[in-house]
Amino acid sequence: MERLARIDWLSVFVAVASSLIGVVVLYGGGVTGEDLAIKKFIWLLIGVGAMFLFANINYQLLGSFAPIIYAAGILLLLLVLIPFLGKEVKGARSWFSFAGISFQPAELMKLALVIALSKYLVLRESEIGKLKELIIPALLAALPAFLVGVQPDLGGAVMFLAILFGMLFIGGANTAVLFGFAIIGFFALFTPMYLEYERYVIVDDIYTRLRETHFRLADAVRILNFEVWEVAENLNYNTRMVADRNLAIWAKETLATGENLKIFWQTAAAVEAENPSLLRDMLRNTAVMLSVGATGILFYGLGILGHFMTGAQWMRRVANLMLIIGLSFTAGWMSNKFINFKPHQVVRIVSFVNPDKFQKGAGYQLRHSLITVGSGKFAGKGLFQGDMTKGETPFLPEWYNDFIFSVVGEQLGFWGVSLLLLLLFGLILRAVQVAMTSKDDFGAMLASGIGLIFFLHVAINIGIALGLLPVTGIPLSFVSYGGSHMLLCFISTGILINIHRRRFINA
Amino acid sequence: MAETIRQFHLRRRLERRLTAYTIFIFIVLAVIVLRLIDLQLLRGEEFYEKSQRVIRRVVALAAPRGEFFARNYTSREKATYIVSNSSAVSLSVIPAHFPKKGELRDLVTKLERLLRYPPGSLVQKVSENRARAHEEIVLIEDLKPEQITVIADYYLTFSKLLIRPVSRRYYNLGRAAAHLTGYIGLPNQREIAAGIRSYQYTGKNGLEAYYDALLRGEDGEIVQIKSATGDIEEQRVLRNFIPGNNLILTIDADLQLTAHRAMGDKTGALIAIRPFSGEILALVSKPDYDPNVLVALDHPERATHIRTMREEKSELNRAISTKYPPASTFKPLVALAGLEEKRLSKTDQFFCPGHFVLKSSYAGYPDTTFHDWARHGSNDLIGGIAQSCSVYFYEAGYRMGAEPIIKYSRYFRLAEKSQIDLPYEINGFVPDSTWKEKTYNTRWFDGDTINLSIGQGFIETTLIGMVGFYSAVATGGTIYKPHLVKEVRFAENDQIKYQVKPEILDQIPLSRPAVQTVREGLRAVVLRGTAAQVFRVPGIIPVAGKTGTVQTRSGDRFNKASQHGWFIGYGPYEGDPKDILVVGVIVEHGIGGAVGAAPIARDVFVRYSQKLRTGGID
Repeated sequence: MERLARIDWLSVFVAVASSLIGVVVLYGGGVTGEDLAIKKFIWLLIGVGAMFLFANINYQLLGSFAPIIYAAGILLLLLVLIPFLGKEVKGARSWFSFAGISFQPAELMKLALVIALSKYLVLRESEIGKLKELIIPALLAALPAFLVGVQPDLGGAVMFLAILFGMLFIGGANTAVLFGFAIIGFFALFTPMYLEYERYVIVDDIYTRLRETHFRLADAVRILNFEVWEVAENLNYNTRMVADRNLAIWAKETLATGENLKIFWQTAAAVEAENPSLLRDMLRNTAVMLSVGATGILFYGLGILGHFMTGAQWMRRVANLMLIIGLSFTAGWMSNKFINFKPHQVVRIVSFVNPDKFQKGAGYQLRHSLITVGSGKFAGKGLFQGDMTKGETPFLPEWYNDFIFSVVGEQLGFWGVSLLLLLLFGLILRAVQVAMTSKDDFGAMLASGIGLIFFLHVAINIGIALGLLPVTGIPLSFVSYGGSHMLLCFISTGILINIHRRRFINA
Repeated sequence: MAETIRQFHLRRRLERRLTAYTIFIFIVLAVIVLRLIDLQLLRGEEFYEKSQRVIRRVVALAAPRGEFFARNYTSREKATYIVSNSSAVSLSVIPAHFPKKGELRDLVTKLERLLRYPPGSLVQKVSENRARAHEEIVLIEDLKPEQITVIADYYLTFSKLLIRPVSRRYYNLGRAAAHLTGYIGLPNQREIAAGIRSYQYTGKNGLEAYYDALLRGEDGEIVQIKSATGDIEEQRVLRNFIPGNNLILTIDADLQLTAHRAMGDKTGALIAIRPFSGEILALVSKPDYDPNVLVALDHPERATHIRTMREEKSELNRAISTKYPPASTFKPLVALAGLEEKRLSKTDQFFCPGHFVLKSSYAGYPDTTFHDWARHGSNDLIGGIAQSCSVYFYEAGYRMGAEPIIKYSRYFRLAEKSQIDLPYEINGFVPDSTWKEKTYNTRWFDGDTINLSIGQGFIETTLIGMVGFYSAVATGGTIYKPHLVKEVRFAENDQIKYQVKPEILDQIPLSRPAVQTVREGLRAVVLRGTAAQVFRVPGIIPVAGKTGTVQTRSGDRFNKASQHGWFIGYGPYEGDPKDILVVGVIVEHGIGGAVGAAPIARDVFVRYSQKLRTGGID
């Protein structure tokens, strides 16, 4: 009895309750909803078993086995890339499949990474403020991120880097360095994406303008759509977004004939001149970007010099800020200049900004996700009454996995979603509390790392479903259909319970 | 002590960081909740309506069928269309738009009155489709300009009717090329079973049927977003169609029309072909039909037209799907066989008293007399061909026997299909002794040989088969595969998909003197023989040819109208190979070759001569 009493029943309740919401929502959707619900329920039972198992294994044992766990995880990730062993689903080779049960090793790798990072950060706790101490954790996360990235599963790769960032922050790494890297990285990605986005949104205007005078060219522009820029820059560009090859060839030839290319660029320049944008002009201007970058680095040098001469701490801080600004601009210019993002990649990332403009793919998913969640209003349409998940091909793609939050919003409405948020964020905050009260630093790091896994999945998944983040495939912890991630969540909860149980020194 | 203090500091740092992390969690939660309030509470109604609106349906986006062009094709702008997709304007109505009882009926009745349609004809269409209230009912498929004017005058009254452009197959040459182009129609059960959708038009005859798969293209798909009331609110192309390929034909539109005009209202067929490439410049079969009537499902005379077609058997392509005894047009083949087999020589003279007596092989049985159409006196081979002297060929055939004639008939593929790219082609028939024993249970008599040697009796060939033989005479032994398609082009970018190269079907080793003798004979027919009168017109290229008159087995021998007329010839005689044109004509019940068929061929040759003078056909 005493053993049971010390179990953190709150966490158990939250985990099981949010999973059951998932089961119920699955039951009412699509044609195969019932099957999905039954499968998920079986995974739920397995998960609960695993949870209680891990609740009874001393978490400190995990710490001592950290290198082995990490190595095993990496091994599985390598094995899954072998065509014979790994199964390809929707273009990504990320599954093991035995006897009808599919399993994604990348999910358990997340936990393995958290354990390894916790162990390392606790070992180097006092030196972690230094820059060079970040190299090994970075490598620890970069390896699985790379292996998952080549599957290819971009969302999974980003997840490992996000876990690294969060763990380093909690583990005590220098915030200036950490956020400096984050800002520079963001800027390096933002610059080309923003510039491409600006080009994409004016394609329609170019078409409208050309339609009267050069209708063939206008047709070519409309057929090539966003890819028209790549083709105009390089006529040998291999288009990927035009479904009909013959049409693409025709459009390319039209663009290549006679004066058409010149007319296109002139029209494009005219349309751009009609839509002035200071940010666009600045980001595109090499002189501005590099001079700001160089000025930032120069001021960094001056600030460091001043710091040495006067010993004033604020000078150092200002110098760091200047370095971050300078490097951001330089990185932005460099990535725009040297990395050539292809339109189909860019479209995927930028389409969340304006889903009505990007009708296909990610934009289509997002528009329907917003309709799904929004149409629930306050009270919801009632269980099993979702309009968007009906039929053989539901309007909402991936409704059972990446967009299940929207489905909950549709069927249960605002109050139901709020309840789900309460459960999930309750568990995330519970993890913080467990970390705060744990008896040792490893337990604290491990608990916060587990909380971080939940938090990242919940925040990113919901952010995608609500159109706040670019669309990538991230499951919603506990709720999504997807056994591997559920198993990860339940094992993690089990470890969390264990840390909580042993919070007293003598336990 | 120092260690404890350090531990304490580290623990404090961890707690500080965790606090910052917690604050971040709350910020994220706040953002999510605010966004949910925005989406679900503030804009909930708007999204709810959208979710009710998105009743999605995938419908086919019909691919435009490939078009046909005449041989003088350089670009779309300057092309001569043979079959095109024209646009028409259709008038349709969606019953669901008229919720009030009787509203639609009144409106359609008014429309009938204004457009002078028989009362009830349009109302009937509406009432037939009453069950599907949300689907469009096409009232008039092809609005005429004056009808559009009427509707425009009353546009307030008819504002709820839908007027939209539709694609319509248009056969530019109409009847003149009906057997060539064929026509299209909705698929039958067998075609549906083979995977064709019930709304897809398929070719029913002619090139439309033969090249159906090329012409059809691939339909795309549209996603229609429908509202709860069933109206289409938004359409989005899910998969674009792939248009069907265009065909550039070998047909010369002008020559085709000339040939059609020359045929008049006779029953029969005509083929004009280039022997050195197999390209067919004109192909006519009579009686004909109007494919434009057949494709217009609401054409008032469609039913009558189909009935007439059935009575006249006008869908039958008499150039390839009917066989006739070749009659005198067969004689050059007999001559060629004899010359090649050394059983006959150019200088052989036979006397023609007007009939030929075959001595009976059995004592006591009467002799058989074979008649000629006239008394020709003494002739050598060229004279025999020129005068079409049957007795000459009775004699020649009797001397050489049936075997070389049958052999050479087979060489010239008279018993085979020509492999022209049209459907429903039939074989010709060449008899032999084995066949006769099997069928009639009697041996091959000399009388059979004698009948065979003037192309009568059992032998039957198609027009295209006979034209194949004359092509071989013109080329000196090479038979090219006849074809109607010169190029296949992509409709979307006008690029050539593939070109049809001249294909040699057979190369018959003929000796030059033998061929030359036959050619001289054919030339003599036109210069001083049976067709001399017909071809004595100014400006015509030198033509060599042969007439033929078929004694129909069923018909009365003395009733001239029961005889079929043949003429097959080529020209210019000894001209540039690429200019040479073989024209074959068969006229059923055409009295005789020289009277019925040769003038038609002459008209085609005259037009061809004019065209050659003014630069020719590419």
